[in-house]
Amino acid sequence: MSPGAIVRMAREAEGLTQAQLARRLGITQPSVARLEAAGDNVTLASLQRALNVMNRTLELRSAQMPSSVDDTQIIEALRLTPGERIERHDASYAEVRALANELQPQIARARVA
Amino acid sequence: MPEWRKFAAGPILRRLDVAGVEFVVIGGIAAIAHGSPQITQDLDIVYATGAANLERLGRALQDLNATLRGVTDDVTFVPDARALKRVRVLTLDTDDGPLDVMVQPDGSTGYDQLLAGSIEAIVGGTAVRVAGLDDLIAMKKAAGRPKDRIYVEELEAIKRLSGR
Repeated sequence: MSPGAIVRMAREAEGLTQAQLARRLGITQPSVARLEAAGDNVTLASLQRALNVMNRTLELRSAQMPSSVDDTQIIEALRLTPGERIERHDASYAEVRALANELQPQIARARVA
Repeated sequence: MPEWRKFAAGPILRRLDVAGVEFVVIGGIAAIAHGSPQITQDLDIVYATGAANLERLGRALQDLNATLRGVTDDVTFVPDARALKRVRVLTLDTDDGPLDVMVQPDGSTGYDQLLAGSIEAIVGGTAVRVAGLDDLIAMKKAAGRPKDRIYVEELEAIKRLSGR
């Protein structure tokens, strides 16, 4: 959500008009309209001040990006010993290689056609 | 579309062990030993740089019919102890697939450090040393390629899921 949208949603939640919020901030109604329409282009200080006059605080936090790792495959692998995992890899590689090399001519023919 | 070359880590590891080579497995195969579900197309090892070990590694590489990967001209290259003494990294093709041998990959200080943090893996009856999770994560972070970043995510997940 953009900072401008946060201001608009907070104002609406407080039941304030843009003119009423403008009076609390000591600015004009068109300035509030511009603030809400500015999207991401609002400074942290302006956002904080706008929220404070509506008796709200701004909370910022950083969080890790969601992982793209499939835990279930790892959990399954962890049931094996390190050596068994390498042996399983060798077997899987041989299967995938055989399949890939078998399909390659068909894919090449399909591309030509 | 690139051809999938013959590759099996087990037979290469066995030949290195039979020759008495002191080495630690790193890279994709090490990540797989820890639980990564990925498929990799080569084996990476870090070796001890003592003279006797270079002799053993040189003999093992010749036994594996190792040649420089991607070199198609008629330059004769024998991966013996003398050659190993002069290089820090060799990317090779062997009878059992691609093998990269190196002295000090980015993110590590080399064999002694990796051996200290390593774990054991018994592959087809052969005991080999595999770089520990934290060392592996440090090396993958230092390498920094997109595929390394995926490995880092996986290795962090392995740490979390295995309580290490």
